[in-house]
Amino acid sequence: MIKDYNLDYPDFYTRLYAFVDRNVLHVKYRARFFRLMDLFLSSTHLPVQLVASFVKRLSRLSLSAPPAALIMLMPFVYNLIKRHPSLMVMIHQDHVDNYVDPFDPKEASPLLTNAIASSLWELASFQHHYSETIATLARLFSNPFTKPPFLMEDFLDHTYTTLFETEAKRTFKKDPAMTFELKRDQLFPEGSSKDMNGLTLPDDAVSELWVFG
Amino acid sequence: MVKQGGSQLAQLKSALHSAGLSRKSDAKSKKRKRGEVDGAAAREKQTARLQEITSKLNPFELKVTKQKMVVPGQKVKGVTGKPAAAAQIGLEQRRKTLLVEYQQRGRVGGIVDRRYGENNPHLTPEEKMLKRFTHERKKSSKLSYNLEDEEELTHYGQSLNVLDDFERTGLALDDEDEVAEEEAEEEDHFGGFEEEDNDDPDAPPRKKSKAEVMDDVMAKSKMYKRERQLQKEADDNLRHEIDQELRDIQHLLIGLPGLDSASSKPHEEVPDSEETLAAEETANKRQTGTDLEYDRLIRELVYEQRAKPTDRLKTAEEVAIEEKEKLEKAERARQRRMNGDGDYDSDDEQGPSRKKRNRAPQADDLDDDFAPEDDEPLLGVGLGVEIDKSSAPSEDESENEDAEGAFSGVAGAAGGRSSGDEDEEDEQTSEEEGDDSLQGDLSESEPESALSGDEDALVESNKVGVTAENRKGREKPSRKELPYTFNCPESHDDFLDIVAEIDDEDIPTVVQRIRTLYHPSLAEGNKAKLEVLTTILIEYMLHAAGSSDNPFPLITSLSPQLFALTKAYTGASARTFVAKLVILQKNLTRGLSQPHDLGSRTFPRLPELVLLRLIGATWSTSDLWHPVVAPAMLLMGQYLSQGRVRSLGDLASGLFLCTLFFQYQSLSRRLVPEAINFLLNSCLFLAPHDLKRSDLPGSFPAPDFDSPSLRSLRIDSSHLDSLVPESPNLLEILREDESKGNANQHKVNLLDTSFNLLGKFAELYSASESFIEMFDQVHSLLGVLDTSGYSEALEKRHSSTVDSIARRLKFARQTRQPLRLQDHKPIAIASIAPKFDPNFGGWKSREEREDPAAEAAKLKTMYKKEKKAAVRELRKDAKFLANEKARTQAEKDKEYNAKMAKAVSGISSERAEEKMADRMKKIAKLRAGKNKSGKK
Repeated sequence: MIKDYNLDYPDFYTRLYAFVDRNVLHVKYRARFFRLMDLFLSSTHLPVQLVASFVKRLSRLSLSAPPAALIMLMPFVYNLIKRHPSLMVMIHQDHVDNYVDPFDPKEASPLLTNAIASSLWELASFQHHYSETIATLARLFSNPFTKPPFLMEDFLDHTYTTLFETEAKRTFKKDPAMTFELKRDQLFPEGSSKDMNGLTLPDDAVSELWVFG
Repeated sequence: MVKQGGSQLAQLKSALHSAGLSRKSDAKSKKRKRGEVDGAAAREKQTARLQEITSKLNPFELKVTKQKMVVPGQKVKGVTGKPAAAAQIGLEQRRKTLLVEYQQRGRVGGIVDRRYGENNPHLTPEEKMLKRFTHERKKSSKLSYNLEDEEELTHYGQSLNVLDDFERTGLALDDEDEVAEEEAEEEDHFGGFEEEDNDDPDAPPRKKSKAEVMDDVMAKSKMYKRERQLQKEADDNLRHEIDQELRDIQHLLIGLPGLDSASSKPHEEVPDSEETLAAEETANKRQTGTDLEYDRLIRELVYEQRAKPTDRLKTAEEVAIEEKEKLEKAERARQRRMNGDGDYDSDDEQGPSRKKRNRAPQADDLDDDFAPEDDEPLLGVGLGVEIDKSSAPSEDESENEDAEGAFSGVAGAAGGRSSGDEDEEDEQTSEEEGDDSLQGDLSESEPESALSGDEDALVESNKVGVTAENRKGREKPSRKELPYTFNCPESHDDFLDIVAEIDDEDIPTVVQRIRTLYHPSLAEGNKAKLEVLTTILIEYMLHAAGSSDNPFPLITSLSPQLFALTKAYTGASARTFVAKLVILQKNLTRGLSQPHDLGSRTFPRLPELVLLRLIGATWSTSDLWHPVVAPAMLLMGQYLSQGRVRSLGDLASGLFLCTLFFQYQSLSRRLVPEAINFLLNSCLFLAPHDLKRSDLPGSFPAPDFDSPSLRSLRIDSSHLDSLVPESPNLLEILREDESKGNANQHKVNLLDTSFNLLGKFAELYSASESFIEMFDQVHSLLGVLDTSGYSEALEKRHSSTVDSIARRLKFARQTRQPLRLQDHKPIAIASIAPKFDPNFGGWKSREEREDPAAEAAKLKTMYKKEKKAAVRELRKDAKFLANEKARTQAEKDKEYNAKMAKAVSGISSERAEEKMADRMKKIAKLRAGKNKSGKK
């Protein structure tokens, strides 16, 4: 109704904003939540500050999110930016001297967070996520915005298990790459390597931090 | 033709007027004509103009064919023509060609006889022949050029051959020759050619005759030639001799050890020991003087293989350089795989899209075509599977969907365990209910099928207990001789049988021997056997990790074998690793499906950790996508984010996973949010603090925060200051789970490790764009922990971590700038080049154009046309000729008539004169008669 009849419900978006908290990306109803959120934010008449606040908060939360949630989040934000082109400043802004991030994460009202002046560093940094899929999705933001909006349904229902199965089922034609050499001494050192040699082996955190046997 | 109104006369008048030739204009231009210098030229111009006007006015000069259906702008040949002019041109042409031919039709050519003396009547035939013969000889001798003859080049009429000897030029020669050389030089300098008379220096310089000079020159040159030949022969002989000798002493030279060591670099391979021996033997025998023996040896030596130069050994430097290059190449390849660009091998699967991108950009490419990293790989990964997934599990869900009403569809693949009432519960989740329901929620639901059944054994074996006990039983068996041959094990049980009686230390030797015995080059099928061995080895290592007291020495000693086998059978090994990972994942989902069952363990135990550690050590973890590492990392992420910490062992296991993650990403520096989350949570579990849920900084999830069951994990503050952190011992923590003897020490160790890892991750991610957001929460969390009771070392670790993070945060805040992700060139409007066909052949289709019948018709028409034209031309020719003939005939007739008339007139006048004379005679006679008669 909000979408079709412009019905206004007092503080609706403020409450919705409050729902987007630290657990929203981890709970199992997140797919449903995002379907609804997609619907609520689909109006192009929404103030851009409000949409920016949502985007910024989601991007903040993404920093601790599992890959499945990130897969959902990236196209969601992409669609929002496509729908509200004025959000482009959040991913592309010119150089500013003495720049300070103006976003206020504690502000409860999505209209007052000043998120529009901030940037989505969090999403950009996922161009280096350990999962290739997410890295690829994050790279969308640095490509020209020429793609049609994504169908969210394709991205909502991922879990660790589905992602894992995808990766495990992928066949490979070429033999996968190996490390150059096996550092046998560092595999499971019995004592601390410090004690043995007097110096730590720099590139292996496991043997540095742990003792075996 | 310009049609103008009025009669011909009027037209003429107006034309003359416009050309300025009318009488009126004449009068006007009288002034101009004052000069009259160029009167003739002006008159010529005038006549030309007049001619033009007359030709324009003559309507019969121009022939116009009326066109039907005129197309504007179209040029059609032959619409207007000038028949008179054309006929005139034709006539002119014929007059030049045909007429000349016609007039010369009876002409006969002649041959001019140019034979020598033919036209000379004073020569006898013999003389003629002789002259011709000499002439012929002269001609031929001039033409032929004989190389054999001494054709000499000259300079000022003197032979150059004298100078041409290299021996006499100033090139390097022996010292003794110097004097002679100087003389020769003097002689040779160009310019004078005053030949000195060496024979007789006292005598006055006598001018030699030319013949003498030439003789001298020739004699000299011949002498030099002879000398040269002799010298060359001698050289050849000498060389031949030396060659012969060398062959004899060659092996002696090489055989001498002194010579070899003398040479600084090891140029040649050390000669065959046999040969050296033989050489020594010969020496000995020679001393004894047994010639027979000597001969035999010589003969042997002849057939002995001679020492050949081989590739020289590399110096230490070169070896080092080669090693360095190898390492650099490996690093470059790794970088390429990490960035996932170039011809990254394993990306081949994405086939067509890759190929498309590799194609060189072309002019009419739309810009978004070569935007890198399109969504193809994405579709290939998530979506592609999601499509077939969504078809499969949606069937399972359909029942649920019906029951749950409108929202249930939204739950999607999360169908599984959640029943309708639970969903309702979820909706009204409130802060108070917090922990438990969140716990339920957080474990992402999995398909039903995974729920049933026990854990899959990571290693299938029915002899686990037996062998473990066996090995325990024989504590220190007397070291037996190891057998040298083994059967290649076909299964893990076989392998266990083989190694049942063997010490742990010898197992690598056993594997090595099996590998040697079944080397793929020895028999067919060995490759498959060794591939199985690879699998078995992995299984055995995991088995050992699960059953043995301290498996690490064994695993470490086996790892080189595994590495070598993996290197040889990469594909098989990778598949085994992935298969193991799949089993782990299944076990994890099963464990997660019973969140309230405290007995179910979600965190990995020793075998699992060993597997993940081996993956990290064996495979290249920095790749953008790696068939083994990618699922392994997802699995580790799932452990960390969904595993429920129940005990200290779980915590240690999780921290070990975090360390593994750090090791995996130490080169590629990719973000692992799960690891950071877990580290923060572990700090919260272990360190004493008095935070409430609402006070938690940052946005990381803390599902188990403050849960009563985990209170026991917190370090007892009474012990804190007395315990010094050490490196945590994974085995002890995992094993001594229940015995609480050392628990506090372990807790302190783990807390120290958590701090340490957080510091390390901060260092790893310090270049990330979101470093501030990520580590701000870490910084504030570490800040609010209660550090009052820490021991000095722990306190130091904590403060150094906090300091380093604070420093990095400050730096990041200073340098961070807003994103500029869309900084690419503006997208050009698609320009579509017109389709241009260079072989366009009219509007007819190709078939029509190439129809043989049409072709024939065309040819026929052309032939007809040509024939007609030829006939017309011939007719015109005939007409012209006929005209010409008639003209000449008329001329002839006229001439003849004139001649005849002249003759006739001449004759008639003569006749008239004759008649007149006759008449006069008659008259005279008559008069005379009259007169006579009259007189009579």
